[in-house]
Amino acid sequence: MVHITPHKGEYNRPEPDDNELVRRVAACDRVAFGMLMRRHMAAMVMTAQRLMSSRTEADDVVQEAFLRLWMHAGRWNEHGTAQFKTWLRRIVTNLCMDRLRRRAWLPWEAAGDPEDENADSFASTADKKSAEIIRRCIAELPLKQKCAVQLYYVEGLVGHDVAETMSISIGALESLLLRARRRMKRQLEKQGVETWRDL
Amino acid sequence: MARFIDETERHNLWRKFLQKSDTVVWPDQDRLDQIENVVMGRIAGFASTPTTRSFQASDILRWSSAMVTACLCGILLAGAIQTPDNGQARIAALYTSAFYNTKVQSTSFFAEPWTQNIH
Repeated sequence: MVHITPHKGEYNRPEPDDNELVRRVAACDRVAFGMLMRRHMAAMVMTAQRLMSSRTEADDVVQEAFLRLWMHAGRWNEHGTAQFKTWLRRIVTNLCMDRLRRRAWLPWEAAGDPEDENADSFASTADKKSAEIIRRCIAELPLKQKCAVQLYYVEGLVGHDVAETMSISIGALESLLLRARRRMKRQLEKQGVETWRDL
Repeated sequence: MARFIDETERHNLWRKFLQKSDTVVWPDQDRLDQIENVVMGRIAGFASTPTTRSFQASDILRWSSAMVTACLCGILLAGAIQTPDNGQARIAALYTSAFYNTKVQSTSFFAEPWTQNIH
């Protein structure tokens, strides 16, 4: 990892943890801010891109999230229940949801950039078509259900982290996921996508 | 907080099913550098625009005492130039405080404690 203008003695110290870096950011330490950005930016870009379905908008959201981190680092409570990364992801998720609410009237096709063909896990054309339908089903879910599905199933976070990120209870998360699964299953079956029997 | 049942087979099947359709790839370094540069550029812009968002109590005390000093200087100055009535002295004091607000606080001596707290 490349560091920009580190403090004297920075190289001799072990890598500072997130809490220490956030404390330094609250005191306007740009080196610490740079380290935090490099540590978490890629994961935040992934989260934003999954929610926004648009590379450009995901980048905008992540920029905005880090600017908010710079301005509000003093609000981070390191003795709370959440980890710093979860708190940061909450900022990203909230910004995404704000944007998605604003563009709710747009048709799904206009919502995002075309995805990278090479990244598709489905090999055959039929499978690619199925993947496209699945993505569309997720995108057409109500906002909170979509967010829960993306964070929990697609991103693979544990339930506790998703609940913290979305500022909801575990029960509410389970309810969102249940409703999302039912809705997606109906949609997938209507579209002729073969689902596993146990889904 | 209640425990979430992460381990159920149903959840795992849905994960496997939905993750297969995920096309989001890990962002390349150029893209991350670009985002970082934009953010760094924007926070550099913030730093050159002092705000009062992070005022500490000590800063307010310091600012208030400097303000009082500026007003007293204005009154003494008005007295020194032998103004005929208190009205003119008050005007002189107000002028001095206005002068303080626009000029003195932008000097490095007074600005330093605030700019250090700007996020």
